[in-house]
Amino acid sequence: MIHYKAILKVMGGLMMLLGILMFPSIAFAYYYQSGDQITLIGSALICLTIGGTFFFPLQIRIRIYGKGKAT
Amino acid sequence: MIVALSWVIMSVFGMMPYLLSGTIPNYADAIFETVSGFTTTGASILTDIEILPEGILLWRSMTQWIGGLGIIVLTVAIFPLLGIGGIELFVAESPGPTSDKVHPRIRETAKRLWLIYFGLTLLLVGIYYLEGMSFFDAMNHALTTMSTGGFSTKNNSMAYFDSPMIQYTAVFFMFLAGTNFTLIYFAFKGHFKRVWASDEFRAYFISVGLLVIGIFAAVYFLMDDSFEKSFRDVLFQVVSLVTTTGYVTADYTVYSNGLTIIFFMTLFMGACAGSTSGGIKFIRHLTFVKNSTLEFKRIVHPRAVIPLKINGERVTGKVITHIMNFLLIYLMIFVLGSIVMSIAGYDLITSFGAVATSMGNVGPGIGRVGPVDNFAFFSPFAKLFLSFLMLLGRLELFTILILFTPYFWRAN
Repeated sequence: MIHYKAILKVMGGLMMLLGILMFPSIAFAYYYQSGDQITLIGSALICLTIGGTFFFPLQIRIRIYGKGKAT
Repeated sequence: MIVALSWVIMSVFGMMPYLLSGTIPNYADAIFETVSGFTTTGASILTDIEILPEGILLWRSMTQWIGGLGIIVLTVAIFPLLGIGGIELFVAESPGPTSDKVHPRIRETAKRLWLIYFGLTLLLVGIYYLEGMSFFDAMNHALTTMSTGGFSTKNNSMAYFDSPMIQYTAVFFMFLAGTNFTLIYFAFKGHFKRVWASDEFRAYFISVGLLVIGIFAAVYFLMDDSFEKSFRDVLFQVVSLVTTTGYVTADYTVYSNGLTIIFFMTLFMGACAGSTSGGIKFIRHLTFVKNSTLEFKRIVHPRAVIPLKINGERVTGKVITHIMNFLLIYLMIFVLGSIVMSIAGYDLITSFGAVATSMGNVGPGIGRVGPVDNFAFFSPFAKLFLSFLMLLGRLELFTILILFTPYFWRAN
């Protein structure tokens, strides 16, 4: 059986991770004043927002109802 | 499904910095560059890398490092559970803790291997920096060396750094990154005998050695370069291609047609299972060669039971069949892929080179995608097709192909 909710949670987690891993690039962009800081921050925020939207609903449900009921 | 979907999602979201910054405005180009990054292929559509802003350059290298991070866990912890990835030879028959496992729990194994990966990357940043690279270049090249990716911050790749020290360091770390990370863990623990006891590692070490000696002998007499320069160039190119890193310091297609064919064959090698390298991998080649050799013995002694042994342990018929199937499907996709590329309007040599290098996650190929060329001239269709082949090769074929079978969907 395919657990779509679980898949969505994993994908959300991955997107958030991707967003977090963009931060070293942002730091370097600021250091070198290379002009791509805003782009990278925007990309990171998009990843974090969409990832969070996928990740947190199920996580909150698990917290409230327990793993069995939530999934 | 999760594994395949993860790689797709990562590629789609990973291309955002390229698109939003306008450095790669085209969708097909952005997907190609991102998939090439996450699959640690290293093929690029960028014609001038040095004009890219630093933040984007670091993100480009970062995609390869993240890809390497993911593939370590996949090959060492997840693929064996699914019975794919080559490394199943060591662990598929023993689900509990064994001497070949780093730790019985996947999470612990992953944690330790990630620590090694992270530690070696940091060490390499320091070494490159001390050897004369700027901190930014050292960081980028360390990220793409340890992931056997091959993206560089320079248009001339590693040839830009005309320093023997830097190039020998890169060779050593590329070779290390092509070694099974479980073996590196044992080496850190001081169990060197265990490392050398691995049939796959020995085959990897000896094959690279023989290739370097053989090609060097030919190149030294063909070219006018000094003894050391010829040796360094050959060593670098062989290790780079076998480990599927894809850095270049010399154009290996100018030596001779025979040597170009040998270099082309290395695109199918791959290093060890459980490393960040792509390609077919030595454990499969070893199984194929040993099994084929034993076949002659079986013909002479038809009643004898002659088992195939790897690392002193008997390999089951199921695993052998699986590996043979993998090799056949790999070759079949290579042929079909080359036909598709030829129909798309590219010459045969370029089609062979592009498909082989994409499936093996290498980077440079032959023909118009040689070591000094890039993939910019391909049509959007060809770029998307090659991106698909990169994913296919990176996820060991079956992970993706199974999604196209009715059995998978019926079972779910």
